[in-house]
Amino acid sequence: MINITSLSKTFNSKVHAVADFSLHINKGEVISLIGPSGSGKSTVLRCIAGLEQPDKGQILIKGKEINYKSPASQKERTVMGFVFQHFNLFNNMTVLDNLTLAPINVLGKSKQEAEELAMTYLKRVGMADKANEYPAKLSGGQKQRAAIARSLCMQPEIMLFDEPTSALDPEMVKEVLNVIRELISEGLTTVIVTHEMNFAREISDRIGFMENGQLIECNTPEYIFNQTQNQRIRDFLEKVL
Amino acid sequence: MKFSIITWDVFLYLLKGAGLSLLIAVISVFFGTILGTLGAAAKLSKNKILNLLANVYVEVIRGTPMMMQITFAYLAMPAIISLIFGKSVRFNPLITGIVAISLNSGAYTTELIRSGINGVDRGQFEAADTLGLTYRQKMTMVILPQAFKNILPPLVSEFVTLIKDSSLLSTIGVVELMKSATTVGANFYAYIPPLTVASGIYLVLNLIISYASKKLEKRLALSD
Repeated sequence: MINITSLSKTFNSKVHAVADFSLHINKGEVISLIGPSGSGKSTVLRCIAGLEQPDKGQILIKGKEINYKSPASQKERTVMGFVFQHFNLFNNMTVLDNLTLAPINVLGKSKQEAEELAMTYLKRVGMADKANEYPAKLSGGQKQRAAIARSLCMQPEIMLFDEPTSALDPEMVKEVLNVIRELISEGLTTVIVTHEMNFAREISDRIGFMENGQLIECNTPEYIFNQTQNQRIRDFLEKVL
Repeated sequence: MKFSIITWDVFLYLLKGAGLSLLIAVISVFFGTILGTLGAAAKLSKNKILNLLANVYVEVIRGTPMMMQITFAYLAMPAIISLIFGKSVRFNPLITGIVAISLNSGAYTTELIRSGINGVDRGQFEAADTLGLTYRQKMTMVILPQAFKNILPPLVSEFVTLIKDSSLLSTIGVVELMKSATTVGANFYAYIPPLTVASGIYLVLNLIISYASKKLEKRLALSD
């Protein structure tokens, strides 16, 4: 589903954000990327989504490389949904308009069809009663649930989560994690960058540990948490758990 | 002080001048906003030539006095044209003045609009990208409506500035409020009454505009 080969990305031509990163992600697989801050996890995710242009390497989505310079890519990239750390709901429109904007303008759905779909997803994330609120009136957890629903309205095959709970107050983390957990149970191919170790352990098929832009190990949660011989991963998990 | 010279007729004459000042400012801010939108688009574009053109435009206008621009447009431009085409031409002062002020306002508005767009959070651009919106959809549906809120307050103060700066057109013979006031002063050999009343008109106009703009900002802030 996602095939990453020798991905490299530097910022300001100095810092190696990602160095020679390769990973093959199967359809329906759930991958978590963990590791210290600044290890390049988010950059990998942003490269997959086309928010950053890789310096080297190749990213195939469903066997195809997306050329983000061509206008056609705008529709192709919607096979992926992206959830941001800071939600990024459009501030100038209501929750419902946030959810229907792209289905109407990108997928060409009718207003009625898009609104029905939006309400279905808002119900699923427990936000149906907030459909006509502006983002500024919502709590962080509500914003993130609405943002997840907005991604789902594009009916993606892949979901990318970039630290979806890092900007939330502690008491709101759970409601967002519950929504993500439920999504995953439906078989969407998922990549999550997260600092929620227990969550990653519970939901992932594989966990990738990154440091200094490199993928140190990628294996089952059981292996990463209990069996790895890599001292750096052991130290890291000991500190955060 | 002979304030008695401000009869109803004289007051109407001053008001007529004020009307022209307001008209000059309205037309100039209109064309200035169009120029500013184009300028901001050129500045934000990836095309190096457009960047350069917009930068030269903004720097030349902001780096020279407005009075010079108006005088240049009125006195030097006809001379340049007659040098090139060998025909002597005379410009209409009002139209020339409006063109000069519009060009001036366009340069300042370019910067207002550019910084208004840059003031919109990067995440808004990225979210629109990941949802597959085209550049045009992203700008018109997401970014510009938000940028507009950033741009409106400085744009209103630009309008207020233009009402005041339109007084510079008095130097090329446009009978706007400033020129009306000095004309009245010259006729009666008394400058204090007409200049005081004219100043009062400028002040009242600008206070009303500032007040209306604050009301509008409050309404726009409803989604914040």
